Amino acid sequence: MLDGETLQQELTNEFESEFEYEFQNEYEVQHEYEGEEFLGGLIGGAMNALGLGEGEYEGEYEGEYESEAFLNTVRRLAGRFKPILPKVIPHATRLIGNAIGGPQLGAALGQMMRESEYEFEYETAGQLEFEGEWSGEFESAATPQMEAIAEALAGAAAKAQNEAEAEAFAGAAVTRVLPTKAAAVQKQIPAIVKATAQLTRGLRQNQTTRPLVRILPTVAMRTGQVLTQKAAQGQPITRPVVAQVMAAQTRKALKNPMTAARIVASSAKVGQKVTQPAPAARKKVRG
Amino acid sequence: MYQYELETLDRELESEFESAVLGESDRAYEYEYESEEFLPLLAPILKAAAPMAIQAIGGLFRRRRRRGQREFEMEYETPLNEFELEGEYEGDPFIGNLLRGLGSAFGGDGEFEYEFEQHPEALPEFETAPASEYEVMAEHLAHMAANSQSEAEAEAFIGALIPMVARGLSAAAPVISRVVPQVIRPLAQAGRALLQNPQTRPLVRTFPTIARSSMATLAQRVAKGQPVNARVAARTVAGNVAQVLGNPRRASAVMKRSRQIHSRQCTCGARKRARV
Repeated sequence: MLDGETLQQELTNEFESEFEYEFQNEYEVQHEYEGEEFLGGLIGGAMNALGLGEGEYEGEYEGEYESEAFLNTVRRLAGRFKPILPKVIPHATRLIGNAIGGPQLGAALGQMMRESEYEFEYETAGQLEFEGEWSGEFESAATPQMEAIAEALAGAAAKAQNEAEAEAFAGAAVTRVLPTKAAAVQKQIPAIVKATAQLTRGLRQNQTTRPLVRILPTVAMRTGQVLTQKAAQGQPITRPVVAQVMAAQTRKALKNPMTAARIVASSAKVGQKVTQPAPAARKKVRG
Repeated sequence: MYQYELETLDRELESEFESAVLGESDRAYEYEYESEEFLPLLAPILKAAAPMAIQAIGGLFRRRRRRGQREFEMEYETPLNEFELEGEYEGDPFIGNLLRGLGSAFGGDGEFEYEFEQHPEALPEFETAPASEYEVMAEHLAHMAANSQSEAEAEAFIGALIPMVARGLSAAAPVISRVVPQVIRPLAQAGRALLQNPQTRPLVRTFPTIARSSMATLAQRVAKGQPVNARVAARTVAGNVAQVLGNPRRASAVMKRSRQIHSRQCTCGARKRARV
């Protein structure tokens, strides 16, 4: 199985070769996307908007997110996730509901996700989601330290030897990215941590779903953003609302195997940066 | 006058709420830990709790050492039968020295003192220091961990309080961010040891202070160009656990401040529930 470490090694080997990105490579990437039906046009548009269709461009974006190796890794991961995700989504949302609002809410959320499973496959809103994801990933190329640490912590949670340690890392990961400006959202942080603990345990039970623990910072960050928006609009931030939002964000992250795989792969890459030794220490060793 | 009445009301409501939520024994322990008159009762609990926590952190190194090469034997006379404590530790010499130091500190009359890589200023005398919003949230998460139903959930709360403490120390300091992951594992180990017993469980509320001083110490190390790895981090956390839990007076002060911050400043809704 391709675990976090193997994935990191593959990505490192690929990116350390420092190849120059040219138009030909970009064209190939674009062509591959065109095969993916409804996403093709959107991606093409997004790539043009980002200036990807005009020869070379500087930055790390292409190396990290558009290299063929990265896409291949994502595809491999997606292939592994595809058969299990339809089962994981209702289970995960039920765990969130249980942790935040009790068994009744958990059962209701799980049932809701199961009933709307058919709907997901033809949901045209998927295009909007992909657009959001694309911009999110584009931003994460210059990942702030806070998010990078969270991804590293999520990676540690996925790879931890025992459950309790994994939950400690997962709790730290989500707290790292949750917004604390809005008092109403801040008040719900313990509920989100509680749900995260349950979710971590649930995902770690199976070897195949274990890498999915890496989606937790993304879910927590998006949950925090949605809750902050709701709070700013004057809507009450109650526990059922938190459970619903978190369940919806979990479903959003998991419903498309490519999306889930992309989040996991990006998390591995971003988290890898902060696990390197401190620059001051390295400098001293060299001296 | 008005302010005084409000504070009194808050205290009453808080006590009322806690008596409704917590069991009698838990409530009794909390009061014992926070009041100086109960220090003679707190000392025996700490006498078992501090070595338990430090030994749990030392467990992170146990597999890496050859058996018999570094062995430390301690004797603890714990008056409470509930505590299960092994009398020896094999592993990291620093942890072994800490445990021996704890044994002599609790065995003698004087205060617990030892030497380790701890900067004294990292554990300030905070009687009157105001609490930031992050500190309030960290205390709340520690409170949740101490009162959590399941052990794994408690560990998640312990892990969650560490980034909060880091934000409180300095939101922009990358140095603090770097040491956060290193602090989680030893603190989670210590937490697991304390959560096993209802009497030692409230001591988890000292963890924000322990985490804060540990991260401050480690950040200073990084700033000086000294390496920070898992072993250094675990030693620092163990040292701070000994510093706080090895001294009943300090532990009591930390618990008292934790309770004050949580009851007066936290917006977790405890008072509202009490009114209902």
